[in-house]
Amino acid sequence: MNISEREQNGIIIFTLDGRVDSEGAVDLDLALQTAVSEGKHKLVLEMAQVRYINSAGLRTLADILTQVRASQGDLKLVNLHPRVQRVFQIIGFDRFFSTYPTVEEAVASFS
Amino acid sequence: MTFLGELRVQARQENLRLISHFVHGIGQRLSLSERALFDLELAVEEAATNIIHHAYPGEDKGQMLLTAHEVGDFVQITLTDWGVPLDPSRVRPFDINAPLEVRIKGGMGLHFIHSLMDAVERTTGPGQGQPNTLKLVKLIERASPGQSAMTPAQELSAMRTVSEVMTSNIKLDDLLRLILNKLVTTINAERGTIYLVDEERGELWARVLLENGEPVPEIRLKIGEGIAGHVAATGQILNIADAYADPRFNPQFDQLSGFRTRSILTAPMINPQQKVIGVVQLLNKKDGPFTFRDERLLTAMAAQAAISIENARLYQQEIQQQLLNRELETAHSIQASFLPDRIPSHAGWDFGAFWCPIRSVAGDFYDFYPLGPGRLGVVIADVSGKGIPAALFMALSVTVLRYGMSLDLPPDQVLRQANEMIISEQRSRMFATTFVGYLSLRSGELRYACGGHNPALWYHAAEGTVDYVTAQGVAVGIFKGADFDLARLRLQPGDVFVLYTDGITEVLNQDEEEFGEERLEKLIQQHHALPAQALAERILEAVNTFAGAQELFDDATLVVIKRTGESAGAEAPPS
Repeated sequence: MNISEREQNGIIIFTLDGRVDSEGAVDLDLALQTAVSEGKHKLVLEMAQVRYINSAGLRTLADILTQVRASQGDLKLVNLHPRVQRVFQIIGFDRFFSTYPTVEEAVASFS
Repeated sequence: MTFLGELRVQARQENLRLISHFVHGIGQRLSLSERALFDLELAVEEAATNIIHHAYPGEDKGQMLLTAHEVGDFVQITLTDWGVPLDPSRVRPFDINAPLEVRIKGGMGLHFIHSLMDAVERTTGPGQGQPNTLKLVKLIERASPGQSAMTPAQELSAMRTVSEVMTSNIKLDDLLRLILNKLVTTINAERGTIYLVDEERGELWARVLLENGEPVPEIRLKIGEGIAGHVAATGQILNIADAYADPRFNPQFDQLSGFRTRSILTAPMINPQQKVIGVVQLLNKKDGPFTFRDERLLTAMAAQAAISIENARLYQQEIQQQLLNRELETAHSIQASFLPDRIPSHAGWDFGAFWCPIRSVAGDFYDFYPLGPGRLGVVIADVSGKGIPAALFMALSVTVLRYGMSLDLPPDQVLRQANEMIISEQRSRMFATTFVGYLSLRSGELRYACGGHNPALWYHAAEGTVDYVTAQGVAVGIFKGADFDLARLRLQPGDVFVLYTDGITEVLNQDEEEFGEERLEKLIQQHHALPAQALAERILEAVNTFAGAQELFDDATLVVIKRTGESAGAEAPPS
């Protein structure tokens, strides 16, 4: 999976491209854990190009969410594909994660 | 119930990719809607993940088998494993209202499986090693009409799937099955075969043959013979609308299988170096003859497949090489552990040695064996052959020689006993040239025996000359009942005694000239004043410089014994 990241007002915005399957989850975990270990706790994931996610991917997201919230941060998701959205609903994750239609709105929600 | 396909893979994480491709192949074959395909893929992947982690919890992963059937309006994928059966009492129902931390602990996969599938059926074997099955059933929701024929975008995506597989690390057999499945479903044929070129025999051999997904026994064809052979020879695609009207068609396979071939589309698989590495053949287009578009598509996909196949082959070679390398590393450290831990140090003496296996392991060895106060055994040997066989034989030789020395047999008897033991213990007809010496550290006397080994070089400090030292005897392990002479000499202060294997003296330079004993002799004369280890390294350096860019062919081992001074009791009588 391709992951690019940029920083805006202390918020790290990750753009994901590819499948968040068991392999993709490893890449994602590495990218997010690196940010968290550097003390970045305000994270935004741009997910328009993610068409597949499985339990390994969800576990990674939930794990990071728990960590950043413990440090008064948050992990916000942007632009979920309808199929990915459905997976979140099935597992009941939609109630834990805040989702936004655009990166700007997600970033603004931190202030 | 119609069989759609099957996939048998090792239950390993890295094969999940292959499993996803398999599900995609099934989806395409049934023209599943994107959503139905997504659900099926997710459920199958979660089920497979559970097998990997729970049915085979250790490192020793078994196999899993996926079979797909169309049953009425449903698609049914059955996953079979032979590992630890699921214990229903240990499955916690997934609580969708539990806090996040609790929820991520487990059960998510099963929750998906049950939420996304229309029916889930599980059977468990009576114990480990018996098959456990999980049947996933999903209503076939087809893509909207007009989408069943592939759009250019879908063609592209099919191509991408083939090229994606190309980058993943999978077994050649699995890959071929996957590619073939993809080609048959994409072009809407009834059957297909992939032939690979066997260059050595000038033949084609069918690596996979899909007959409702089932492989059939191997087929071999001469290149140039029959339709596939013709395409392999010409490198041109061949589209035959009526097989029985074509003289190149061989109806024998039809007669054997009871299958009736109508149309045949055969394309060469050409790698980027423009070499034909195989042929892909599709039989019986389901709706009419194969079209020009099918030709174009198959040509493109066959080229992708050629790359994938070559990559898979390279990957397999690499894996094998890695395994071999790891084994060799282990063998190297085992073998190195046979050598003395350290070079001995005694007042009035200076010792040096090096051991350079040409591969990871060697047939050469040296040994310093403490014989008791004031006495030291010194051994050098060169086993016939190289690599692993030589290394194994070396282990045997070290053991029998040490055994002889441990009994304090005289050097000639050590060789004699080793010779008899080796001849009676092994039938591989290997032998070792061996030099065994017992050195008295007090007097400088060396009693020695030599079994066909290169003469040692003895530098006399007083005269500045070098003698060649040997004794009568043949290599150990050749003749039963062989005798060895016992000889003796006395090293004086300043003398240097060098034992070596032919890996030193027989090194060739660019002009095919041997390094030879004379060069070694001169080096010793020139550098006799160096400490023993420094002299050994100086010799190694000289040999390497001499060889230059030439590859070294033999293991090289060298031992340097230097009497540095008048050690205590140097004038004592010989022991």
